This record gives sequence, C-alpha cells and structure tokens, in this order.
Amino acid sequence: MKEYYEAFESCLEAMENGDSLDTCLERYPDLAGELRPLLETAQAARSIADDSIPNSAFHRSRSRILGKASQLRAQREPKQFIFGRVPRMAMVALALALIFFMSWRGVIETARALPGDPFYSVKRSAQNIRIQIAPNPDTKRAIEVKYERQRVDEVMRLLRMGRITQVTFEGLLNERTSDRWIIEGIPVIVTPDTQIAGEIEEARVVEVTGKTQSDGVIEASQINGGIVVAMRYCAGIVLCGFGGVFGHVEAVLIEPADVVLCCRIALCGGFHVPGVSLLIVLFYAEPAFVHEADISQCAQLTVACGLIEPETCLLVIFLDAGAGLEAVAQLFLGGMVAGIGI
Amino acid sequence: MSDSKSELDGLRDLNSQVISSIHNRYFPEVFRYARYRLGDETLAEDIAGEAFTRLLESVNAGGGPHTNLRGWLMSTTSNLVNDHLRQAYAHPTETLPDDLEPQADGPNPAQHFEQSDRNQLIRGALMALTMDQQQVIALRFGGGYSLAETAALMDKNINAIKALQYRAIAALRRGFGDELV
Repeated sequence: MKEYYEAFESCLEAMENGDSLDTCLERYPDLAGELRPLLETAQAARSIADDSIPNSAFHRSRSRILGKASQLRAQREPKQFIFGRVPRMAMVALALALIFFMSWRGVIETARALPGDPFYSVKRSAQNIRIQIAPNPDTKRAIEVKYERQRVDEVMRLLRMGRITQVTFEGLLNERTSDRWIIEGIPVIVTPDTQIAGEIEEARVVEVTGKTQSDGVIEASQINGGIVVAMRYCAGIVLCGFGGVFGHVEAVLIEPADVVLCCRIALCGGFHVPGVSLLIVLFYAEPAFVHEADISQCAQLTVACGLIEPETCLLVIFLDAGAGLEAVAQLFLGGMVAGIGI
Repeated sequence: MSDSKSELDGLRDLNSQVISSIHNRYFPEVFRYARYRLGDETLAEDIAGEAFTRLLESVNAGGGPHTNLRGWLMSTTSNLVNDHLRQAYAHPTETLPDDLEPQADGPNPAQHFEQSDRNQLIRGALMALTMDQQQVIALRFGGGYSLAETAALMDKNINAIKALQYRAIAALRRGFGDELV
C-alpha cells in the first residue's frame, strides 16, 4: 500500500503545482486506474473549501475575546485585605477552626466526591491503597467489586445531576441497538467514533469509557468487551412450612426471565416429609454483581424458588463461597437467619 | 512551530495588544477549519470564538500552550467540532445549509442549486467518515496544510498521515458512489 500512498501524495503535489490529472497519472501507468477516482475525489474535497473570512464574524470574535480578557483581568485584581483590624489571637483561633472544619469537611467531601470533583483523585487513591493492602486475594476481589459498584453509582448520580464529565465503569450489557446500548441500566450512546474492542455479548460485562451528558446519557469513546469474571458459587438451604400448615414445597425451576441479575439458578429442588418441607437451591453469581443487597436478593430468591412467602420460613441457611461472614450477616428474612462463609 | 516567548508571556498577562494580534493571526485559519468541517458559518464563528475563549481561560488558570500556540488552537477547535458533531449525531436536527441562498454576484440560480447539491453530497459523505478522517481532509484539502503541518497538528508522523489521508479519500469516494464525478 505504501506505493499507493506515495504515488497519491506525489500526484496531489503535482496538481497543486499546476499539473493536470492526466499528466500526473502518466507517471504511474500501473496505478492510474486506482488513483484516478481518488484524485478526482481529492479535487472535489478541495472544491468545497472557502478562503473568505466574513468581516462581521472576525470583528465580533475579536470584541468577544477582548471582552473576555478584560473580564479575566478584573478577576485577577487583588482582593482587599479585610482582616487587618482583627486581633492576632482571634486570627489564630479562626485559622485553627478553619483547619479543623476543612479537614473534617475534606473527609466527608472526599467520600462523596464524584468524577470531576477536586477530591475525586484523593478518593480513588485511597481506594487503590485499600485494594493494594488487602490481606488475601478473596478480600482484594471483594473490595474491587465493591468499588466497581461504586463507579456505577457515581455515574448514575452524575447523570441525575446532569453533569458533563469523563467516566469509566464496568457493567452488564443489558440491551444493544446500533447506536444506543443499555449498560447496567445506563443508556450509552455509541457514535461512529466509539472504539469497540473485544467480544461484545449481551448479558456479559463490558468496560465503558465516555462522557456523561446533560440529557442523562453517556457518549462512549471506548467500550471493551471480553471482561472475564470468575463465577462465584453459592448455595441456599431453606427450611419452611412446619406442621404442613403451608403445604408441600414443590420443586420448581425458575425461568431465566424471573432470575434477578445477580444470580443464576443452577439447581432448585425440594422435598416434603411430614411436618417439614426442605428446599435446596444451588445458584451462582458473578462477583461484579454481588454485594450486600444482591446477596439479600439471592436469599429471597432461594425462598421464592419454592413459592413460599419469606415470612413463613423459620430458617434459612445460606452458604456463600467467597462472600465472607460480614456480607452474609447482612441477611434478614423475617425469621432466623444463619450465614456461613466457606 | 514555536511561538515567541514574549508573545506567550503577553498572553499569560492577558495583554490586550498581544491577544488582539494573536486573534488577528489565527482567527482566519481556525474559522476556516471549523467552517469546512461543519459547513455552517454561524456555527464556525461560535466554535472559533469558543476556542479563543478557552485559550484565555486556560492561560488564566496557569495552563494553555507552552510552545505551539497554533497547534493548541487547532487541536482545541478540532475537539470542539468533534464534540458538536457527536451531539448532532445523537440528536439530529434538520438545518438549512449556508450555501442554499443564491448570491447576487454568483452563478445563475440553476447553476447555483446544482453547485449547492454537489456541495451537499460532498459534505454528507464527509460527515460519514471517522473524526480522524474528517480532520485530515479538512486540514489537507480544506486548509491547505502540508503533510508535515498536518502531522504536527494531529500529533502523528508523516507516514501515518499519508496512510490516513489515502484511506480517508478512499472512504469519501465510496461515500459518493458514482454520483459526483
């Protein structure tokens, strides 16, 4: 192809210097068939150029820019010093109060900071340090997952506020049309300029980089597919319906449409013995979507799988490989709940 | 290209004379670039004005160009045009092109409308290209920049620009089909 690029460029230069198209092509008889339409196209692209500058536009722009300069200069004027008469001790007290207030406020502001805020880089640095010092890979992954979830929440807040800023987040691709995708419930506009890399599939995790817009969408500059997330296996055991009051527990397979995003049912079965119904559900979830609320949903799903009201269940034993006791302890389903992290 | 230190210092001081001189020198090429990309004088004026406003805001905040003022202005203008086009792709509206109105001293109305159709066809095909392809065509064929200047403005090497312009023109040609030439 280099030969074509060079010949094309050489012809462009020759035509700029006054050569005709045909004269130029005579120098490249082997490439003439390919080059002719391209050189004609280049001439067409040149033909719409206009060198004129409207006087009115020029003068309006100059007035605008000089006005802006004048405005910025006025803002640079030193502020009048107003503390001259305040006693020295009062100044010290005021400074200390200010430092205390600002450091406390700084902590709060940092925690609440969103992309584009002055404290946001501090927040991300602190989170990165927390990930780095995690005592083991499971904890590290759990922290990463929590922060990935935070990125999504931050984007949703920015969109609600109508703020325009650069963001990056990971999420599940819910729907995809040619120019509008829904990722983790967030509408993402895909333009011809959006770079798309990796394998993109619905119901899989993708990474989005783009800019939030004031109308509640994100304009994506890059979308990466093929994000691999390890499956996480959980098991739930539900002991329900003592004394046959609530009837038998039937083995029910839940349709995929009924399954909440966080969980995929692998097995759901139950049996009934006089007085006791026992339901066993095995399911797995992708770690990116497992956090406290999701685990609670998973447990509710365990119960819903047997078509039993959560309140009727006396005991739910929830086994979760990887969540740890801290997350499992968040469960509460009306009855007595026990969680075991394994 | 490196702008003189005294000029950049004057810009940082928000010196009116320096700003006026910078505006007079660069406004024409910034405006022409934006008009070529957008095909609309009013929009081009807004974008050019915004590029100069951002220049002042950046230098006032301690940023802005340190050596190449022209490169900074053209790059900012290009980003503003790209942002505008992305918005336009996301929320398309019907607008009348500037060249629809016959000029008193121009060709007769029939020739004018034929020319206008042809320009619309070229612009339509241009808009379908990637932002990089639009930019290289606007610089090379709209602004008449050399390969080296285009490479410097797009922060690429000359060979990359040769390849990009070739692909851009080929894509433009496919966009026309056989309708134009």
